Amino acid sequence: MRKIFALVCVAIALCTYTSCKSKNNDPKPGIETPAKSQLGTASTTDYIITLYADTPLLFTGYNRLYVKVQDATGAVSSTANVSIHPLMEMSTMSHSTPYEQVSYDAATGLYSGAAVFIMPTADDDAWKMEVTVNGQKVAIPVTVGTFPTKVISISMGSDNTTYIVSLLRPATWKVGMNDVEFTVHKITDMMNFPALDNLTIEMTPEMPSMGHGSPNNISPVSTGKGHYKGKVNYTMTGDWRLHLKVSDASGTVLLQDAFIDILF
Amino acid sequence: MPPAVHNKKHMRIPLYALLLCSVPFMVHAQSETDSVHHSYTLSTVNYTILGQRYQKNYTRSRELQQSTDRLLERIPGVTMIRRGNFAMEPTLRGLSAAQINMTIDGMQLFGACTDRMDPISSYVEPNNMERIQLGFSPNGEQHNASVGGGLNFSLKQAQTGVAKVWSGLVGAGYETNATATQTIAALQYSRSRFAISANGVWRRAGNYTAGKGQEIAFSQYNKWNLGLSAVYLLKPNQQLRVDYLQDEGYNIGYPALTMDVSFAKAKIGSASYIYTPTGMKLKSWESKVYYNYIDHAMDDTKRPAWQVPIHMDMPGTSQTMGLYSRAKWYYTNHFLEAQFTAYSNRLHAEMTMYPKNAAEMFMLTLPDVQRTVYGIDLKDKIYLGQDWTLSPSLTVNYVQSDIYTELGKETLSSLFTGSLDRKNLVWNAGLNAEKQINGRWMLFGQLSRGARSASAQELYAFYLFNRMDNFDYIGNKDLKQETSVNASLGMSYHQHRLHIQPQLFVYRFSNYIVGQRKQGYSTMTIGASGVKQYVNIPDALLYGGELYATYRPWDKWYIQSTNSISIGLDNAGNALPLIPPFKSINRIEYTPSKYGFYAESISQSRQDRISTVVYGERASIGFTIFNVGAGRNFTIGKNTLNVHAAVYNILDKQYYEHLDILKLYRPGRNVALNLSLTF
Repeated sequence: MRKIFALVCVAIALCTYTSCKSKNNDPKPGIETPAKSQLGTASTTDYIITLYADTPLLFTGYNRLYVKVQDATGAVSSTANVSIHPLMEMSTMSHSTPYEQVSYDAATGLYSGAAVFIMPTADDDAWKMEVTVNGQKVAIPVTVGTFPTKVISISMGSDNTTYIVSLLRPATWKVGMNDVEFTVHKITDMMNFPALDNLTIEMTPEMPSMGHGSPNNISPVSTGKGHYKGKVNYTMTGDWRLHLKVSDASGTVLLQDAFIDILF
Repeated sequence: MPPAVHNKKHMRIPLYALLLCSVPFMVHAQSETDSVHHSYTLSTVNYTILGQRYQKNYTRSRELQQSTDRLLERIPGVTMIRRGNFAMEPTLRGLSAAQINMTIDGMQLFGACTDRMDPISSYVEPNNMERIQLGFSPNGEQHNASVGGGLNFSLKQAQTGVAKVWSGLVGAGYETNATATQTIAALQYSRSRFAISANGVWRRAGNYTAGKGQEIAFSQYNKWNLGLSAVYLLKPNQQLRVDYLQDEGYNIGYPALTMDVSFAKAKIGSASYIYTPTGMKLKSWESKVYYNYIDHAMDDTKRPAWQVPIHMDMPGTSQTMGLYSRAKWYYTNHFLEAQFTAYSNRLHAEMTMYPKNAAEMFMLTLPDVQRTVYGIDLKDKIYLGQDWTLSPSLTVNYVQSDIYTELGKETLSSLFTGSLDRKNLVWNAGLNAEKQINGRWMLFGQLSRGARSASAQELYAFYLFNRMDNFDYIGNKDLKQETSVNASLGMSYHQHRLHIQPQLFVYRFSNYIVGQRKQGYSTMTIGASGVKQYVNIPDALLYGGELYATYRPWDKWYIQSTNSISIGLDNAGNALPLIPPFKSINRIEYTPSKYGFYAESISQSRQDRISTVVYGERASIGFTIFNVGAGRNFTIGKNTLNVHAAVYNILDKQYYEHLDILKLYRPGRNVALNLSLTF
C-alpha cells in the first residue's frame, strides 16, 4: 500500500516537475531557484516540515536533501536548530546510512544536507527521514529506488573495513571534460558511518564495451567532509566505468577497484 | 615544346597566344590515333605541369573511360596512395594531404572522409575535365598557400560558336578483371551566343583479381557522375557560365581498410562571369561563386563478423562555399595576374558504435571544424629580352579555424584547455626563371618559400585511425605552420626527334608535421597499437629528381620514358613515410595511319628507405609489369568510331606499389576493350 502511495507521489511529482519545466520557458529575473521535488511533509506542534530532493525519486547512492521549516503562520524559519537522521526499519533491526547533516543555506532558504543510501526500499524494509526542529521530531517516509547504473560501491577493504564510495551525480554529463565528485565513508556500526578524508584515489575511466580509456583525467583529491573532487573525461557517449583505487595516507591500498558505472 | 623554342624569330607571337591560357604549353608533334579536331573539347584531357616546359597530350577518347586515378598515376612525380580499387589519393613527389592543394576548376573542396577515402580527385572524371594542371612548387598554378604545390582539375565548358550545333561522344568499355564496365556519354549544343553541354559516366566493378588468381574481397565499386555546363554570351567578350557536377558512388569496397563505403556523394556548383576584353591591357577577368557539399558514409555491414568487433556507422560531411575573382593583364613584357579568393569550409564527422548488450556509443571524430580563408595572389611573368623569363609570385592567406558547435567544443575539452580558435597568416613567395640558351638548350629553375597552416585534421582530429601505422591520431591545436624552402633546377634539350628533360628538386621543411607517439593515451580503435598526436618536428628534407625523355627514331614511332624518385628524411635522419621510390614508365608507340599500337613497362624499385619504428612503414619489393594496347579508328560518315583493346599486366604479376596501404596486390592480368563514337 505504501509502495503504491509512493509511486503515486512520484508520478504526481514527475508531472509537476515537467509542467514546471515547461512553464519555466519564460525568462524570469531574480535568483536562480533550481526546481526541487517535494518528498513529503509533516507537522509538529510549532512547525511545518517539508523534505525536498533534486529529483522526485531518491536513489541508492548520494542524494542531496533539503528541509524547509515553516512556522504555523507559514513563515519560513532560518534560525531553527534542524537536524536529519535517515533510518531504515527492517523487520528485525534498524540501521542508518551515511549522511551529511543539514545546515541553513540563505540562497535557497532551505536547510540542505545529503544522504548516501546504501540500499533501496524493499518490501518490508522502508526508509524514513527523521527531521528534528528545535527538539521536535517528525519522521517522513521516503522511497529509495535503485539507480540504473552502479553509482555506489560498497566493498570490504584490505583492512577488513567496509567502505562506501559514492558518486555525486551531476545534473547532466557532457562529452569531454566533466567535474566529478565522490564521497567515501566507512561502516563503524549500524548507526555510524564516518566520512573519510585524506585518502588517495586513483581514477581510471574505461569503456567496458571497447576496453579503452580516456586521457587527461584528474584523479579526485580530498576536499574535506569525505568529499573528493576531480575531473573525468568522456571522449564519447555510452557506457563508462570509473575504476577507483583507494589508498590510505600511508600508501596502503584499501580498495583495489571500487568502480562506478556511468551511462549517458 | 612550343614553336617558340624551335624558332626564336616567332617566339613572341605564339607565346603571347599561349600565355592567355596561362600555362607553358607544348604539344607533341606525334600523330594522335583518334584526336578528332572538331570534337576536341569533348574528347581530350591534357595535363600541364607548371614551370616545366612541356605538356603531354593524352588525347584519346578511350582515356576518358579510365578513372582519374589512372590518368594521374602516369604523370611524372605523381604517385597514388591506394586503399582499394577506387578513389586513390594523389601525392606529388611524396607530398600529400594538406601539403598539396587540390581544386576543381579553382574551387576549394575537402573530402568528407576522416580516413582519406575520398580525395577530391575521386569526385571528378576525365570526361568532366579539360585539363589537369599541376604545380610542384608552392607558387604554381595553384592559388592557395601550400608547401608542395597542387593539382587543379579544370572543367570542360560548353563552347559557343562551334560549327556543329550538336556534337557528342558515346563510349563503352569492358574489363575482364573485376568485370568492370564503363559507359560514358557527352553531348554539346552550341549556338553563337549560347551553349550547353552535358557529360556523364557510369562505372561499376566487382572484386578484382590480383596476380596469380587471388581475388581481393571488398574491392567493388559503383559510381555515376554527371557534369553540366552552360555558357551565355552577354556580349562577345562577356560570358556567364554555370557549371554543375554531381558524383555519386555506392557500395565501394576498401580492402585495405577496416570499413567500406555505403555512399560518397558530391554536389559541386558554380556560377562565373568572365570578361575578356580585346585591345586592352586587361586580358581577362573572371569571377566565380561556388558551393559544394560532400556527404560520405562508411559502412562495415558487408564485412564478416570476425572483422567487425563492434558494428559502427561513420558518416561525415564537408561543405565549402567560396568565391574568387582573378584578372590577368598583359603589357609590354609583363604578364600579370592578381586574384582575390575567400572560402569557408565546414567539416563534420561522427561515429556511432553499437556494442552487443550495451548502450550505443556516439562521438565526433572531426568535431565540427570550420575554416575560413581569405587570400590574395599576385604573379608576374616578365620577359627579359629573348632569352630570359622571370616569374615572381606572392600569396598571402589569412586562415581562421574554429569549432562551430557546442558538442564539438565539449569533445575537444577532452584534449585541450583554452581557446580552440586559430588564426594564421600564411605567406608564400617564389621566383621562377627560364633561360633559353640556344635553340636546343634551355635551363629552368625556381626558388620559393611555402607555408601552410595545419589542416583541420592535424589541429582537431579526435582519435582518427590510420591503417598504415595502426595508430589512432589526435590533433594538436598548438601546431605551428609548416614551412618549406624549395628549389628546383632543370634543363631541357630539344631537337627534331629527341627531347630530354632532367630536373632535380629539394624541399627543406621547417616545423614539419608528423604523428608522434603519445604515451599514457589509450586507443579508441580496437586493436590499434597506440595513440599518436600531430607534432611539429624541427625540420625535414625531401629531395629527388625526374627525368622525362621522348625519342622518335622514325616517323610513326615514338618512345617515351618517365622516371622519378623522391627521398625524404626527418630531422633525426629517419626516412619519411609514403615516399615513392624510383619509378620508371617506358613506352613505345607505333602509329601507322588509322592504327595505334603501344607497349609499355612500369617499374618501381624496392623501397627500403623506411622507418618502421617511427612511422610504422614496411619495406616494399620492386616490380615491373607490362601493358600492351592496340586501337583503330573507323570513319563512318562524319563520325569516328574508335576501337581499342589493351592487356594490362600481361604477365599476371603479383605486385603493389610502395604507397599502397597494407600492400594489397594490385590487379593482375586485365583485358580491356573500349569503344567510342564521336559525332
